[in-house]
Amino acid sequence: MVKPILSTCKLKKLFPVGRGVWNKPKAYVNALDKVDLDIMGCTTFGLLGESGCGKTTLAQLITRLQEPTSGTIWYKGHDITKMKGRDLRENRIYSQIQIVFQNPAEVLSPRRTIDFLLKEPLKINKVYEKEIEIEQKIEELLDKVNLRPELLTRFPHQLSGGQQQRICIARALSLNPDFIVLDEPTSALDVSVQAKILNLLVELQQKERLTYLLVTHDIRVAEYICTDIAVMYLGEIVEILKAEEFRQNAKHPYSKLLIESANTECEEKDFDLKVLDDPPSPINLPKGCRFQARCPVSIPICSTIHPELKKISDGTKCRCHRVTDN
Amino acid sequence: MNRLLSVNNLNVVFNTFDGVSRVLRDISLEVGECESLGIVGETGSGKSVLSQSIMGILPVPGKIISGSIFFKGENLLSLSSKKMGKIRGAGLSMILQSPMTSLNPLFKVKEQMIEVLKTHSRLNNKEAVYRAEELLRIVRVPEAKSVLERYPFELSGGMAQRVMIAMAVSCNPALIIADEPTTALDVTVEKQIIKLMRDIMRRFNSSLIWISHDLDVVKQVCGKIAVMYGGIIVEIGSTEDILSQPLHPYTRALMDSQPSVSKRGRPLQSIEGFVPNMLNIPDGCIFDCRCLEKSGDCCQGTPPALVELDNGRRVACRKYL
Repeated sequence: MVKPILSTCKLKKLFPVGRGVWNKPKAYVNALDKVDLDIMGCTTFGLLGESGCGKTTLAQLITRLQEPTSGTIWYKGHDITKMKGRDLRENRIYSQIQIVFQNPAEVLSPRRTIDFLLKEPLKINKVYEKEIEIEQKIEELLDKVNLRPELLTRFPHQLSGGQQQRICIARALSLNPDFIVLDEPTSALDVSVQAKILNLLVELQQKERLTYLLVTHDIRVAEYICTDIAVMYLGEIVEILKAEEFRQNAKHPYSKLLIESANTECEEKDFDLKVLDDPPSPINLPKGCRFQARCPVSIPICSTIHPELKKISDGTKCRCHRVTDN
Repeated sequence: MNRLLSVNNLNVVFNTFDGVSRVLRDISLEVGECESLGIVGETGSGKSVLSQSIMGILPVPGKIISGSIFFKGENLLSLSSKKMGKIRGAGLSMILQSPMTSLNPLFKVKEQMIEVLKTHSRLNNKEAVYRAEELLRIVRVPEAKSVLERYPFELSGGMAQRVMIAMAVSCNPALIIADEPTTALDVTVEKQIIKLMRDIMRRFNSSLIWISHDLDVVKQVCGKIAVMYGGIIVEIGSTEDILSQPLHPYTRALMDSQPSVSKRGRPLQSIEGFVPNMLNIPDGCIFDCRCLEKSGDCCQGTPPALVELDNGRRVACRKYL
């Protein structure tokens, strides 16, 4: 049986809030709560959810930009949860797991040329000894992202949004990673530019045999490019299913709410006004199901017992008392 | 039909160090009473400059060099700033993209809402507060009384946007211009705001101009759509017509580049090249260098004007001349 390239087990992250007696935090934000994930190699795993669901926190934990409070992260069979600087470097985890962020203008230093920005990861990681090898690698990277070498002498603000994002993708590729986290990579781009970036990402995945973890709030992007979609709500995964069947097969009421919201066919009668626009606070989570206050089909058990993420016979997983195997 | 707003041959430039940037060229459009017009375009199309020109808040170094903007029969461009100030916020109001940057962080919601009411009406303090609470209920803000006492940073994005909408309708505007009002919001909140705006239009008998880069959003609210590219309108017509049969190659390319599950496994149609530099506009059609349907003479001569076809559709493309 093929093993996943990356797995998480009961991954949890709490952020302390405020200072009370003895400098102890007054409360904690439950950013992520016991998240279990399995991501297979050469696939695109989508994390779909709205603001505050924890998808960006999960992406940061996986790339080790943040420390988990508890739980484990396995990468190619190694437990990388507690690995620190030197271990991560020696085992080359830093180079194997890379990340592309949402807003390239905020990521690329405005004071550096594109040439410097592309060479930076190679120099820091002492990948090559000779300057000529670095130059060749830069040329190769630009070619992979379909950019011309003339851009090397420019500064980020002299490039368009799409070109800037391609530079970020080129940087992510420079250390020959196997796993790339894409945190809303096209949200800040125009639709026609988004199309080019998505096409590029698909092409690169095939050529370089990459695995992607795609964080997005846009169902259309997730449906188009992902193999699997995990829907997140208030720090938990509420449903996991195949992207191709997302619209027809989603069972969780929150997934259905997302689909309904993205549905552009104009119907007056539909939208459930019981759905408030503020989910409960991640500091004071309700007992039972976290979606219950906004759920149109909740029953009494939903407010007392917290539902587990159950496997359904059609291969999907769902966290809902109303969803059973029959 | 009564034309509430009529923009005629509007030309706007930005005087920069590198030269004159012609950001809007010969823009003409109209909005009738109780009508909704969607303006769709990507970065650099000029849609925000257009809305700022109509509201009279075009920032320096922007300048309207020719054309007219008639609102309820008056040319807004010929009005004094005092007279324009009476219209702006009352008969003609605006909702912006990011409520967090439009609402003043130093003042409570109550103070900001009564400011609008007291500027444009004869309500005293007490009456204005009462009206503000009523408006918050109309836009479905829960616990309206306590929200009035909050500062903007204490509100969620969706809630803050509802406050902005309440402010925009507080003086019964004839026309509301919404510039990307839901772009910064989550999709479930966006859906609620879309429904709210439809209800608002009906309740206040207002017309609406909704500006967005997202056709899917605009089609839910607007009966008419104008597509902008590189400073001009390339196509204008009813929503139904434009979506079922887009005529301009740019509109077609835009719709084809939208990802969807039905396009899985195939590359998305993308538009090669970039928007031309507004400092140096080439001859002929502005979309020529990126158009997949062009012919030999599209890059020569004067740019194709918006030509009227049947049922009110207008397209700026040589193919339809």
